[in-house]
Amino acid sequence: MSPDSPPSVKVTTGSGKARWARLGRRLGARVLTGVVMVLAVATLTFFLVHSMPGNPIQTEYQTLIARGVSPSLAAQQVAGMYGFVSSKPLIDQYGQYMWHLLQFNLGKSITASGEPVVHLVLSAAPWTIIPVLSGLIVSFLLGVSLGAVAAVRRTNRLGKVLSVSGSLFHGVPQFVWAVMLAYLFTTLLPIFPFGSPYNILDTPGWNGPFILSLVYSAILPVLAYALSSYGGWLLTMRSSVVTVLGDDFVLAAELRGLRPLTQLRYVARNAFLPLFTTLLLSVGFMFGGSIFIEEVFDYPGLGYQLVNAVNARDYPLMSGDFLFITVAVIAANILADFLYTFIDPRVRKAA
Amino acid sequence: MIEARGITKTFGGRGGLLGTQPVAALRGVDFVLPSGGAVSFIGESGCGKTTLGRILCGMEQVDSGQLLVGGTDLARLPQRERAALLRRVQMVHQDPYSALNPTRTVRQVLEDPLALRARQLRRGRDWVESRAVELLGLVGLDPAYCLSLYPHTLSGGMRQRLVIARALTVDPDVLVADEAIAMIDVSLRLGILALLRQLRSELGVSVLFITHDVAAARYVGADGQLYVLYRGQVVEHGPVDAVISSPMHPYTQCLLSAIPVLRGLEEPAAEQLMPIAGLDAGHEPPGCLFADRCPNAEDDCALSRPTLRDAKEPGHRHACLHPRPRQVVAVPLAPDARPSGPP
Repeated sequence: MSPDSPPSVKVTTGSGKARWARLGRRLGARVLTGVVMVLAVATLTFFLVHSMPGNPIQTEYQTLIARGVSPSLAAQQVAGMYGFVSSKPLIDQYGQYMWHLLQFNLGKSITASGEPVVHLVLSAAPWTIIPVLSGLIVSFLLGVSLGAVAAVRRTNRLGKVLSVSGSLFHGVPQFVWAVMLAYLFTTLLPIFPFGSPYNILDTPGWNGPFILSLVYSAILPVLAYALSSYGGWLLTMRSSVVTVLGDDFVLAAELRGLRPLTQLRYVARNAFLPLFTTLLLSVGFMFGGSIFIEEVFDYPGLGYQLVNAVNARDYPLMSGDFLFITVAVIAANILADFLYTFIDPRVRKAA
Repeated sequence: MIEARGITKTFGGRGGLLGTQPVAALRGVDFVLPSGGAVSFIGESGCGKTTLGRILCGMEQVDSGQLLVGGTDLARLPQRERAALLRRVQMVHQDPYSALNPTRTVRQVLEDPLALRARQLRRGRDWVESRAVELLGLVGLDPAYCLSLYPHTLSGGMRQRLVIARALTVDPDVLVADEAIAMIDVSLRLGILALLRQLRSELGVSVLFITHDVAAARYVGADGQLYVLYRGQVVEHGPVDAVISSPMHPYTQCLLSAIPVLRGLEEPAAEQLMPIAGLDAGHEPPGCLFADRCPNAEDDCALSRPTLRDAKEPGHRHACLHPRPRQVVAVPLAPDARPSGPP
């Protein structure tokens, strides 16, 4: 008896060196596309941002008037901002913006009195990344493991309770969680601090009490983020595991008497594949911040900064924030695509 | 050896919000699968043939009746021993695409169960590797080429060979091939059928062949028994050639009529029996289950359900009150001639 088809075409992944070279080329191509995309988005946001009604000086002037400042005093105060707002034609401003962008210079903020936008964005980023990333990790681990349980036990009470909890948690918006947790644990049951991301009596820096207060204050925002995204992970993982459980190879493993742990490994590995890309994209979108949670818990993060920048028509800061988010999403995309080839053998060859 | 005595299995009927109607998947099925022998079950979708395979693999429990494996009644065994006994029965799945874990290479697919087997037999790592190579050779795959590949790079036929090799890792006595060629390219089917036949003769593995392809059943188990299932009831059974060359039950005749007449293998005639209505699984008539669709039905068919009775040849039985011989008949195979192509 002969094999069904002669092994005429070698489809193996080739020798190690050649494979790495191919992966490197692919990564290079992806990064190049990413850079082009970033430049395109930068162009788009530049013109979009400048076409918003109003301008920084007018907005600031109106804000001052609304606060009861006399027109002459307000005019005097906004005069200081003229130095930061360009009066050149928009197309020249665009050329300058892109030229600076290529040198990683995002310009100077209008409202923060000439502070470089790069500094502002980078100083706001940790306040977004740390709580949101922790929340993402907590919700992912919780959702994925409970989702697997919900799938395996889908016919009995535990599985049903877990699925319903997933739908329920998924349905409650983030700001409801934030407000609810803030009310429950800072007002009704004041066990957590409120109004600052750390204890203002501690000196910021690498010292024990400060870091401890940082962690302690982060519990509620992390929880708010985790609870609002837990349901989504649970439901996705559940349906993914249910699909894999229906595959015959799981049944075959059972028939051959492989150990439950081995069976679980088979299922988990395959069920995880569709969640992997979603996870990395969530990491990318994380940089957009969660405006509601930052607002409720007074975190000076990126979402908070962006809203303020939009309200004040701070063009460079807005563009900087948008650009930062764009780069994060595109980078996460490239990373997801690249790492996926390592976890799913089916996309490993250039087919 | 596997012997089934009057096994029944009914699904549903436990209520629910609107109350589901119970569906009888098997109604008192008897059969004997001797060691190294072959038994084929044919019938349309929903006739209970897949349920039968699942029961044999231990994935379903029978409602009543006995299933004897090597003379031991499964129901009397404690769970652990039953599981060990049922490991002697392995399944070859219908869909070779979902039957293989896409994240494991051919080597890993075979070595996971082989490592288990090695522990039972107190063999070492070398044995696992040499056995994997041996099994691949046995099913007609080139080990040097295949071992490091992932399943998605293999063709459907190669995948099915791998599925069979994997089933053989635990040294089964019985292979349950449930529609094992249904999803394989037509050109590669014969190779799989020939492999199953080869395993029977070389390893003495018995094969329970579940199909709706009469020709395939005839090829794998030319010396075996053919059972025709209709709505969970065996309506005709006997030696494969006896049933195919002189089918007595009208349902068997309908199944055979669904195959185009092959010149040289069959003698065409005017009569091609076709069922006259669709299958109504919800309707439970007191009489013959097939009467609603039977072109030959008479009044008394609706009164009582016919049981199996002897036909002319020894061992050939059918459950029809008014059997008529079929006019289109297969040309009998010469007893010593092994078919070289699809019969």
